[in-house]
Amino acid sequence: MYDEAEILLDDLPKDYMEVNFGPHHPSTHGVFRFIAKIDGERIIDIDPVIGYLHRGIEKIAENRTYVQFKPLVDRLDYTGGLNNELCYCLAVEKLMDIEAPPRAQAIRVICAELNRIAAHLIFFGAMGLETGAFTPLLFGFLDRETILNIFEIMAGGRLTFNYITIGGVREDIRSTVKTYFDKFNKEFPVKLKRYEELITGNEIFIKRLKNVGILKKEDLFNWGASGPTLRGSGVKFDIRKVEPYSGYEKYDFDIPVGTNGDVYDRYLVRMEEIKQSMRIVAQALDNLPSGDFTVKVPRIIKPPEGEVYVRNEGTKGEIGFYIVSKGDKNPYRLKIRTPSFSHINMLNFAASGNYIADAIVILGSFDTVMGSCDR
Amino acid sequence: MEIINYEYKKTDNRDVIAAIQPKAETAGVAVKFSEFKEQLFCEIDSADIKKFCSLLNSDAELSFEYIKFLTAVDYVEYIEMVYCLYSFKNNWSIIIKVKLDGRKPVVDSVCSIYRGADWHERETAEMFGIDIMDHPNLKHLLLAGDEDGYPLRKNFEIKWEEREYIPPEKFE
Repeated sequence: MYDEAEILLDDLPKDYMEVNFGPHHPSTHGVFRFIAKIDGERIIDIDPVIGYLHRGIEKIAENRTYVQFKPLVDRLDYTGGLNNELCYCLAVEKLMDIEAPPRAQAIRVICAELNRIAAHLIFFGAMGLETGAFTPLLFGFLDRETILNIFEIMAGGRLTFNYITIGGVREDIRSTVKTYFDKFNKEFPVKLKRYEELITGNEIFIKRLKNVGILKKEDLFNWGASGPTLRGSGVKFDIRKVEPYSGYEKYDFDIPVGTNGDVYDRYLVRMEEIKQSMRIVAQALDNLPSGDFTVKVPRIIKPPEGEVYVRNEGTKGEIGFYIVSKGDKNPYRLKIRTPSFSHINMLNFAASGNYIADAIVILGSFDTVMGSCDR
Repeated sequence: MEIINYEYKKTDNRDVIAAIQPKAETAGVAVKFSEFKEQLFCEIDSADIKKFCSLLNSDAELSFEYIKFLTAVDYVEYIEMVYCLYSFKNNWSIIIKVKLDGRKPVVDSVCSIYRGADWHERETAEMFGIDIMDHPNLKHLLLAGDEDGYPLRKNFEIKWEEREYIPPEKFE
């Protein structure tokens, strides 16, 4: 009797359902759409559709001067604008053979690390939202607000700064930054500990994240994954350590790594990175070198002929600029390598075979930003 | 999972050349090396790209396991494909360059070697009109597919829509 039923079930045509997801769904972090082929609750195949935020930034770059293009760089990964700016400026500086003075380098490090904390706080909030908790979002954005206020004092902007310039920074760091940061440094670790008690050790949260979306390092290498996604799988690789730029070798900080390679490890890595970034900013503010905050650069920037690829550790992973110069005031070709693009490319591989609800969590664990994916 | 630690390692491009050159010769790939600002460029023939990439990826000593990006540059007479690879083990970076015919660019896909190259190839194909052979899923990625020409080619001009300013009607 039972055998017959089984045979009957096998003979039935297997029908998969196709579910459209997005592009306006809140948990896709922007305008991202995917079509999931599902078998019951399980995902069999994901077909991501991107390009809703495609602005043709690489083409615009060819029609603008190096300085005119710089404000657009903020709009790539808009949660970590200063990291993008830093990378672009480093690339142009490498072409022109100029080096920022030590004070500018330290200010750049402060900017980049503060922005990393701000970006990871968004991740913290979004991760809670993905697993059904609303409170972390409010907490995360509240503390991010304090950092944005510091940015406002430093750069005059909160999300799009145009602060780091080719050859240094736009203006010197103000003394109030240290006062504000010291206050933040005193309050924030206490708060962070409270948040971690609330979320990180929460049983529901752990059950949703642990052993979900396990990725092996060999696969991650092959897919071109970088940043906290790579580190979550036990690869202690950080461009700040391996190819130090902007004086990162002077600071004392640790690289957190996961051991299991699941979503929970990626979450823990990012939470630990917040603490390490706080350490770096405190060190940089304490030992701020004196001197100029910028070198003299020509008014019209015309890098000599050649091509460079410069990468740095962005908030989500490896961000890089490949610039081909022909000696003009416009770049001949500018290619932007963004971590989100590579990570969403990996989504089908990472999420297939999981439940629909877990696919959202896996996508959230890559911490993608569509502005940087579509460019 | 065991933790692998990668630390700062001073690298010399001469070591990279010395490691790649004999292996490429036995595989029958002619490589022309050049250096610019501490970066190593390898120029190879377009027919060899798949062979060369699989050599770099599978060789235990070289182990270029990671693709940073791939793209193309339009030099009008010819199109140049650029592949940027990285070896975690040795902290080596190389940039491979392949020249393609400007009128009818065709190149082999490296997607079977580096799966991360999938979308990069799709993007390059639609932006430059390059025919990427043996790619599993070569459809539009970022563009809708209704534009005439290929946006990142030099002959593609940005069209500005001129709009006449119509002042709002005055309220009586």
